[in-house]
Amino acid sequence: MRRLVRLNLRTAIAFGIAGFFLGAWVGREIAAGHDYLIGTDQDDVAVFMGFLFATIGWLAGLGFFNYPVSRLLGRPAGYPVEEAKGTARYFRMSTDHKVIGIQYFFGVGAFFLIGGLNAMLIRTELLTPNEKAFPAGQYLTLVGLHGTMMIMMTSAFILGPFGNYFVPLMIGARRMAFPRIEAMTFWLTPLAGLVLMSAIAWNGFPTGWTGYAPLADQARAGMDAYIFAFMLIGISLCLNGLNLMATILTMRAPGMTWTRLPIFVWGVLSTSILMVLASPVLLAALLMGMLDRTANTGFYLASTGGSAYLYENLFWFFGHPEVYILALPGFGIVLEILPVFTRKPLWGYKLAVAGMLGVAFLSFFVWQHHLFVSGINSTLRPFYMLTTEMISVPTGIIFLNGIGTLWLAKMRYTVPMLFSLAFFFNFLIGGLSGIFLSDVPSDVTTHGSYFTMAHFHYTIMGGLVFAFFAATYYWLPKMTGLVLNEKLGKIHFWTMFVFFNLTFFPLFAAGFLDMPRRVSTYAPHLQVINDLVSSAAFCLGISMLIFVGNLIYSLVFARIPAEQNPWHSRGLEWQVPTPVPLHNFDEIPEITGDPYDYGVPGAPPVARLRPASAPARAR
Amino acid sequence: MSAEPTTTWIPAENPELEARIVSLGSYLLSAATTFFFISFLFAFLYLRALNSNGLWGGPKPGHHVPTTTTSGIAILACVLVSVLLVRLALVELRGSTRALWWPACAGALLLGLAAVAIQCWQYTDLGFGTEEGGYASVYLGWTGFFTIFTFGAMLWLETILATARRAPAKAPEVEKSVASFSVFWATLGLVEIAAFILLYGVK
Amino acid sequence: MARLSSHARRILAMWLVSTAVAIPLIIWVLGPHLPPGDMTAEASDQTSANIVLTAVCAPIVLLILVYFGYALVVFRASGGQIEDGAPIRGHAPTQTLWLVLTSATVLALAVWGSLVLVVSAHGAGGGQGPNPIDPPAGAKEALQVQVIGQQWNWTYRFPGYGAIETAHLDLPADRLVEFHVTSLDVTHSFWAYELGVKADAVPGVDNIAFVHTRKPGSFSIRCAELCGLWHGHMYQTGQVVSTAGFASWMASEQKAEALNKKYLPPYSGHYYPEPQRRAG
Repeated sequence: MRRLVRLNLRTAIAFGIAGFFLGAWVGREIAAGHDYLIGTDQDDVAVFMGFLFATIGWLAGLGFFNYPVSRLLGRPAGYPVEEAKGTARYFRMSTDHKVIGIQYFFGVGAFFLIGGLNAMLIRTELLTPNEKAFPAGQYLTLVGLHGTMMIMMTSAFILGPFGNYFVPLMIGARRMAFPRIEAMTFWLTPLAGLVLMSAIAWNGFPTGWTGYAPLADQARAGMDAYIFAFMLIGISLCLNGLNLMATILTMRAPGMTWTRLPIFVWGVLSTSILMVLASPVLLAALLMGMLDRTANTGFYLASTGGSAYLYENLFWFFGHPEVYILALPGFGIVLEILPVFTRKPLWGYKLAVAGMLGVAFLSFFVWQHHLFVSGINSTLRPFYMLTTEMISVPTGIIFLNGIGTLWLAKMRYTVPMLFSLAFFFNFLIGGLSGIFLSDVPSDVTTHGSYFTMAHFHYTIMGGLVFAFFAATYYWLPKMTGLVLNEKLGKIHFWTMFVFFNLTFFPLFAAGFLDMPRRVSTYAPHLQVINDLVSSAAFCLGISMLIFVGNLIYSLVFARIPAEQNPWHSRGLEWQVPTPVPLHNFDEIPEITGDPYDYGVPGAPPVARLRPASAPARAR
Repeated sequence: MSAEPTTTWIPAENPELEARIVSLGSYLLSAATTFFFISFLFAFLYLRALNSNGLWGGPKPGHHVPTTTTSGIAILACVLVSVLLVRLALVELRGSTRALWWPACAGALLLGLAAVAIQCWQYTDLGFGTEEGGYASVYLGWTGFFTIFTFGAMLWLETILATARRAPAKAPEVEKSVASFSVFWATLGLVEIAAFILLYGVK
Repeated sequence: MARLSSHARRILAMWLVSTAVAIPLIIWVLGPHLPPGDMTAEASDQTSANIVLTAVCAPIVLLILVYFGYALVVFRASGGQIEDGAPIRGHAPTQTLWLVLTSATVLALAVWGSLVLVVSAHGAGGGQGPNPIDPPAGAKEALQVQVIGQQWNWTYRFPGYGAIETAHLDLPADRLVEFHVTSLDVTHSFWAYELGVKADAVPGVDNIAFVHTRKPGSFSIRCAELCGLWHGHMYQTGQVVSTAGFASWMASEQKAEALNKKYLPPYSGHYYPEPQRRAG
């Protein structure tokens, strides 16, 4: 079947915009005459229908409906991979997991930088104790955009680029289980980012990333953008988890037993459990909010038989697993990288696996620690205090693995190793500050203050983002086939590490000194701390620019081809040629050894890439 | 930017692996769907227990907003019979005759679509508005999204039927795809049972 | 083996010395400055919780820092050579010890936290919802104060004093106070910092928090839950004053608010806002 038009990003944008206006018109027709709209100058039905049709147009413009329609007509299933050479393939729907990995890397990276820019603007406002730089409404929108964008995008920060790119390579598969769904999980992400940013056109939204009702019910149309964008990300997360889990469970190469599975893949697996089970709850919570705003239901409004607590419960039932969706891939990355640069087997492999699965399991039982002072279930507070503090046991295991792997090591201080070591330092502070928040008497002081804010920036930025950069410096040579400049990488690391800590450590003090989150006005005596933090934050921003500069310099100007295995790693992903061929492996490899058998006398190679007689893949 | 696309094919995985992937995917999708509807279950129980402003059952004290139980029973019957028909088709496919699987699946498809249609018709004659309290909200949300999920499931079933129609496949392959679908559809059947008990029985 | 244990001995020694230095510093030097102070019994409990937690965290931080610092210096490849480390995959006794120690610490913290929360601190100043688990003795005679959050201000009603509404908060010293926190529109959070009180103000909910005031002084009141445009401006200063001072303040407030009283709705544990419309 030849297509009439070449479907790519251009058609997606055109169809998306056309879809928005069509949907808005349909929505206006539907809602016309409903009395609750009278007297307001906005029509949430039209906005939501606009977004819905825009999504359909966007996906249709990329060609996502061609295959389902052909299947509805009874055409057979199959996986043709249509490859454009050159950069064009990155701007269209591709079912090649390697293209999707790179799409994710740059797509999510771009939104990360925009989110970071928002943070810079927030810190600009906080240079003075009163509103100076932005009006209060704009400031809140900046806070909301920063938080939402970072949470939405960083949820896919590691699983998107590196999960999609390397899981098939690490388990010896040629593709992911559902390549089209994989493509869709990516293409929903930039759409969600664009929808979220469209909130600016509707004067923003006031709720921050948590979107608490009833403030969300009261807010104007910018809130619709938040709800719809977060729904898209919820769907994307759920499908991404489903796809990764199906891949890992079914497509491992022969000989890839559970004890030989790279620890990063274990991290991905435990994360995908959370993604599959927690994201639908987010979706449901947001849909209820959408119904409140459009169909005039009262899920979250106490006056009409609903409850604000319903949203808080549903949101945090998703929200707490979500923070481990952010943390677990980071655990996987650092434990994957440590053995390579210590030249030692991963210490306590099985314990690490148990730790990650334990974190995933426990994370479903802790969500009410966000609601300790909210006035619900005060009898359950000791239970949630216990579960929350218990989660530090499996998290602590990751530190034990780090300790054991460093013991009698032969460390090489490469850039990925430096980022991994910094991860331990940051996550230590982030994790231990969590103990304060899990202890109710202490939480009464720290809840909702800058202490909380510093805590989760230490775990997310200090944990996830440092792990992301570790993975970037470690794997980008394989992904792009080009060497990243090491000197710039080290400058990036040191500036980022120093200014990250200078930015966020003082914020613990600000929180202890009664500075609530998300304010643009604060007590004058806190100005010294805030100015210090802002200056450090600007330097942190500059360190991100150093990284961007490194990317541009190394990938555009220097273009030094990378070796196949520059780090001398035993990982299966390093045994394939650089750049990775389209089929990954000519034959499905046979796994013959442990990926971390460094220094083990007589250790077999990790895999036979060309098995003498390719065995049938029977399991 | 304008390099011509070149089509290459990833060597096909064996059909057994494909079937395993779809089967696992169906279980995972069912798990996700369950958690999605558990949110509505939670909303039902939570709002009912709180009864904020005395408005769980609607604005008139002592009265509950009316729901048309007849159409509720009709929807429940359609979904459950449809689920059973898919199971029957599965038994057929695993047995020796295999004659009845096609009509059974086609019947299941029609019944599923009938459930969607009845639900849409019921919305035109609800007897209460969406703004009338907690029950009305949960009712609208739960049945609405259940209907959308049901419609999606019917598209999947249609795909299976159409594929088998167009290129008569080997029985084991059809059986595996029907089995995968059956998992998801049975999950939705359980959701519908819970919905019926709570929305029409407990209120 | 001898070399191995010498590493362990050095690390252990450094850790013990640094811990022995750090813990007294935390308790006696940093501790008195940790929030929220000792204006109320609950605030003292929170302060001691913060001190204990910091003191418990210190050895853990120091263990990791000392170990990593030592490892970074000692366990490094010489001159950029790629050489293999010792192929150790694990050490069962260490793993068991680690699990036992972390679990024991965590359990101890959870039990201690629960005891402080439920038994000694009666909710530790946090909002407990309409039905507090374990109201403190004398809760019947407590001074009832209703805290009403609305965009973007706090007001207070005193059901024991004719349910008048005041724009400021004064509290008597040495008295058990029972806050009833509620909201008229969106979710706020009543945070009286020096009192050690934080309770979400949720529309339709009566969120109760207890606090025993001790000595006179002033405290700051903030909103700790994002509530819209002027969230940061929900900022007041309250006073804890002597019993006589409170009586005279209340008398003057009653005089001043007498005219306004008839416009107030009847006192209730919570108020339902009008069904919400979009903010115009």
